[in-house]
Amino acid sequence: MSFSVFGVGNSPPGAAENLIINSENFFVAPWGNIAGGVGQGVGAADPFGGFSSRMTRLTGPDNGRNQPVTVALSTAYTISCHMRNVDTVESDLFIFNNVGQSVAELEILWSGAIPGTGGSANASNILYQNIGNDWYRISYTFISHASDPTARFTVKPAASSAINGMSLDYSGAMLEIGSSLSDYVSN
Amino acid sequence: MSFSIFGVGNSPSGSEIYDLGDHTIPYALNWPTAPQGELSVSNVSTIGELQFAAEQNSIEINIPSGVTLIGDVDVTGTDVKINCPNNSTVQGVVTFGDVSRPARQWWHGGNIDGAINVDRIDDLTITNLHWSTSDGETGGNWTIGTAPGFARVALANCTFDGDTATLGWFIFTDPGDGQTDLIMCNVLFNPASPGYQNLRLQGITRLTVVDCYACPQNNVTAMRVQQGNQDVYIADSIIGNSLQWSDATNLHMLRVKRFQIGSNSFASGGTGMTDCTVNECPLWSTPFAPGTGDGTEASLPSGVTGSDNIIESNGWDGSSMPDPDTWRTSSGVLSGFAASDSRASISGLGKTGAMGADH
Repeated sequence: MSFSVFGVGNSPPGAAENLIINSENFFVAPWGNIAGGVGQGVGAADPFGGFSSRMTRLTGPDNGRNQPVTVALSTAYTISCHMRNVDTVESDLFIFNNVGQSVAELEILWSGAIPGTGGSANASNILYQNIGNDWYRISYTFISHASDPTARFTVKPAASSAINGMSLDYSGAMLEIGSSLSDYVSN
Repeated sequence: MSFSIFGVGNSPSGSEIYDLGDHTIPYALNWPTAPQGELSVSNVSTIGELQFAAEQNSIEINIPSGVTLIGDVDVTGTDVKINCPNNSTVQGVVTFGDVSRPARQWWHGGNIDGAINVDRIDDLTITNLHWSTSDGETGGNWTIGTAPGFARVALANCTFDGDTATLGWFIFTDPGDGQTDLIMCNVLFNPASPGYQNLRLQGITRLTVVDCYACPQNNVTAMRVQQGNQDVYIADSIIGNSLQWSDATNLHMLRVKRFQIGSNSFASGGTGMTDCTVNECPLWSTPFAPGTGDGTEASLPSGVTGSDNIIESNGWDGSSMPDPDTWRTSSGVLSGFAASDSRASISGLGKTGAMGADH
């Protein structure tokens, strides 16, 4: 187990760099589709004064969105995202490399509004922070790929055991270097 | 006399990928824009990896040497460059674009064995591709989705071979989809099997065909340019068998040699033409009615003007299509002709050397 100097969510503002662009709107570039993409809608009010991105599975469990980030090789990074369940039962928060291979993965099993862990290959420091109004900040640490510098921050709202039509609200995506989770930085 | 490539007010846009030399294109020539910005590199090794990468934005995809990847691929990302080595093949249906209307895709090199489709897309470039159909697929539908169709598509230095397919077209465009700017340069449409037709190009605004060869080895259609094309330039090309053109505005053919074998008379056309010209086109057939014969000037239909379009009857065996590579030799003598035969001359063609892709 590793510890942050400031503790979870207690980093001083501006201490971390969020590598994700358009971190609260997953439907604009550089976000792009995975497996045909998702149904796109306006979700619940997010914790940042705006509205979240509601993603709905259309055709299969791999429907999703992703954003590529150039990272250092074999280096610790921490991924985090704010999620609020609508009606899904399982969702994915993955890192893919640039040919679609899994670098790290967290399969999130939902019990109503409450998330829990399914699979978690190459993920450590898994955290679920309840921040109110059914919003959770979900995070984990992973080691980037040894030879591919592109890390694709990937979300799938209704993976595996879910079915078409299920949805999840997203906002506040963040990818930062290091194994500690910092306060969210809006981009 | 000097020529402007583009004419007054016709400066090109996009990425010019083929030298059109002294051609004077009588309308704005809009080349597709190449993928822009920083592209992350994706070195794929399986069809699944290619399918994943082709969906992403801002990516340069490298297919490895000496492989055959089997499966369909939908290229739906924006700013996508795909590099395929000439000894590698994607065997399956490849579709460029989708309902999201991506932009700036470029496929370079290698082989696609299967249909090629084009959905809604802005700026598609295909270069040095050898396309074939080994398992009898129908040809490509280049207006899959709803209107408006593609905008700015260029094919250059490509070879399209049919094989056992019996239906379809290499490229089909629907007249009602409003597609714009299709440019084809040094493209060899060379169907090997009877029944495979070449091109049915409809509803295109600004269609440019230069240094191309479309000669099916039987009496089916080589090129149909019909139904609602606006601004068409076809030059320095060979068309075998059926050449149908009709219902076009501002269509111009220059130095297009047309041959016909078999009994197919599907060569006439020219109805509904407005402000069109045909010049310097030797015709080993009688595509223009009525009353033309060997050595005489062809009659042109209403709406078409031009000269030096001579009906030919000799100097060609009447059964085999000209060899495209011989046609492209620097000697400027068409296959089957003596250099002394003025009708064999291909002087004026801008390009020499082998046609199509370099593999």
